[in-house]
Amino acid sequence: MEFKIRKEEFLRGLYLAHGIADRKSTLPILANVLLRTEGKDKLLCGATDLNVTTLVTLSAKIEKEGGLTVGARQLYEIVKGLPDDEVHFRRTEQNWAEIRAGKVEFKVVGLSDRDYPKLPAIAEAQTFKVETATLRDMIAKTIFSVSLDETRQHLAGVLFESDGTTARMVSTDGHRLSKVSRPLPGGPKLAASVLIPRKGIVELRRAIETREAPVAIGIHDGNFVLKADDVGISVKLIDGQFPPYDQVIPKENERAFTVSRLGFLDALRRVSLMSSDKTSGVRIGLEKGKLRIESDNPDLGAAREEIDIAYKGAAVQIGFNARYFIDLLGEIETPEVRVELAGELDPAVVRPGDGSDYVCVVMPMRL
Amino acid sequence: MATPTNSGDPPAAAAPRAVIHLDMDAFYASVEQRDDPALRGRPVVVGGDARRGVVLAASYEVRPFGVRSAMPMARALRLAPDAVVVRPRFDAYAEASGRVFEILASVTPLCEPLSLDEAFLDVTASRSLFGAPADIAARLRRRIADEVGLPASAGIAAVKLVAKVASDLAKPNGQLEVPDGAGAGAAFLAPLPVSRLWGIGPKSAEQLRAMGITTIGDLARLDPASLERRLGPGGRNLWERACAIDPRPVVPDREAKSIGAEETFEEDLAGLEALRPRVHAQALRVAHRLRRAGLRARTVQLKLKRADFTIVTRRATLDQATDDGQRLYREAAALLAREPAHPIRLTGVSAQNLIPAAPPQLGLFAPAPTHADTLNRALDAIAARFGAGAITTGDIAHENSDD
Repeated sequence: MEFKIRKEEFLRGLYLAHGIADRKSTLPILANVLLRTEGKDKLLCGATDLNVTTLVTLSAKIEKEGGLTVGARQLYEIVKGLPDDEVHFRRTEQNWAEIRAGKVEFKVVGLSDRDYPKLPAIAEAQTFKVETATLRDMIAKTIFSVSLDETRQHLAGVLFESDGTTARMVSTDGHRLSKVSRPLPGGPKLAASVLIPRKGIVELRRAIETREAPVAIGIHDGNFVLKADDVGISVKLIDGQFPPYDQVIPKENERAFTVSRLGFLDALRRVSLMSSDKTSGVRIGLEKGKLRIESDNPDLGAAREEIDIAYKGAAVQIGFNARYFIDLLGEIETPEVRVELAGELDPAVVRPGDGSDYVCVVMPMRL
Repeated sequence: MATPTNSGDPPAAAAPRAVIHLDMDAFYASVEQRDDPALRGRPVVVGGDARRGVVLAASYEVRPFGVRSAMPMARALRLAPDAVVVRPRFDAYAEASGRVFEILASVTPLCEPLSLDEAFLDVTASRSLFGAPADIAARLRRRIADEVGLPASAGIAAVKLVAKVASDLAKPNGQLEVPDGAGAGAAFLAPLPVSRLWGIGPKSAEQLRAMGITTIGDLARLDPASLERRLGPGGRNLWERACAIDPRPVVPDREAKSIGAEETFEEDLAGLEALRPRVHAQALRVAHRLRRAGLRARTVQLKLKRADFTIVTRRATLDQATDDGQRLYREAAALLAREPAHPIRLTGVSAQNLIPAAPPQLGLFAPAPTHADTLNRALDAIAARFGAGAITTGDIAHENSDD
């Protein structure tokens, strides 16, 4: 196997592959990136952790066909640091890789591509073209509230629903929940919702982070599949029961107010400087015409900030993790947000000021 | 009465500490004498039925006759036929205990309850605010006398072990301070009989006497290695105690790494029938203290001391943290059932791997409270109103039955 490839082109594939290659796996070869020639001018660059798979087809000048696997992170760092524009890659005896660029030469230990697990057939999947910006926006609005607790599989992903005109994403870590709905014409018509694991969502986001042109998505053989030109990603869906999320979104809370998004966000950031690092607990209080955010910590000190709001309802004071509000306020674009509170043990609801279909629910904490 | 244990991290540096052991005098009997003037100055025995009950408390007037708590009632009445027998009123004891602990908490948060009527206080950091440890102890005892109307004794020393022995010697209604400084604790203990040491009952004392050891000083002078050979792994521990070496910190339940209860029996017990109710009572006590401290345990440990002093500990880890006494008991009983049927002199149950019961962050999908939670809340409410012994399970009630 031997090929020549432009450095930037090679990096595009290695960047996606090294995020997925699994260095902690019990299968050492999964830490490697799979390189395989295709025809005279294509190089397949792939990686999998057996749940998430990426396969990128790169333009290259193939001089001798074949395949090889090499440590993904290592190869990414090597190529990134190469000086020259063109990289010359060659497989030598015993699965060694020889990488040359200008006067730089590396010899790297690899493993045979024949030992690499069979990758899902991304090309065969039936997919549907949708707006990339919409998909990106929906991911951003839900990824922060996915559970990081690997033992709670059913919460460790984003729920995705799509009927061909509208799509919905929902995530919850058990303490807070985000739900977004957007028109997604041309999207897949799914009979049931699917649960995409967090790591897969991270890789999907990475693959479309700067993309303008539409992407194609679909469900194939228990996988969520995304195709963007020469990039393919396949994510094995979580087999689990997402909790009945609609039941925990309060229909209407009596204590509602509208507040400047940035004003609220900055106040939370300031006041939480005086809350404990572990819990970020602050008290959010309402009284006539005023929103008050307070924090006190016997080890640090106290902080308090008031924001004038048009509020005429009953006074209330509820403890919250400020971090949860800061996360969600960062994902809303409107200048104002609408907040609804109820009792001390009841969830808070935050929505964008323009009435678009995004809702975040946050449970209080005892302070 | 069970002796609870608490354990935590040993202190980082051996800075001189000031520990007070405060112990109410003949607690139940004193409450009865306080509430009924006719009983004052008379020999009072608190306990149940004369045929089958045991003495729960004996007033100081009856002690010269040889009456002690935990003694069978029938024997107590043979020793002191004129004693006035009073049925226990657990609600009154719980109420008095609550008021005593409020007074203790006014001096330091480092208050480790041992039972209803006994606690360790670490007043090392309280000195700048409240003065010398002996003055703090005197003030606490005066306040307990004035506000609760009960006598208490106190021992003051640099370590728990010495403070406890000192309060024993100070009884009744007195206090004794062992000055800190190198060797002071050991010198204080040296002339005392070995039976004064925590964990040495009549049987162990007998065994030591056979080895020519009568005083704590005799014990301290021995070579720890040879003690270990003769008494097993507990030997070194015994020697350390004799030398007043006791690094255990005073740990309030809320900050404890473990919460436990143990009991040395009057007579060695053998067989599941005899041991299970003891273990059950200990598990319930531990669970009650867990709930009071707002904690749950992931690990249950059963401790057994055999007649030959060998100590075995067995642990089980639960899939979910619990503060339910029946759950702790089921695990402890299963551990007990797997042990060979040796005669046992002590059993202990402790809860370890503690986590807060109610995390401050509320959940969206909170599970409904379990039956055990609801039941425990009701049991705690009854115990808070009528006292710890007011309600319990059938096996334990049968063990202590007085009708």
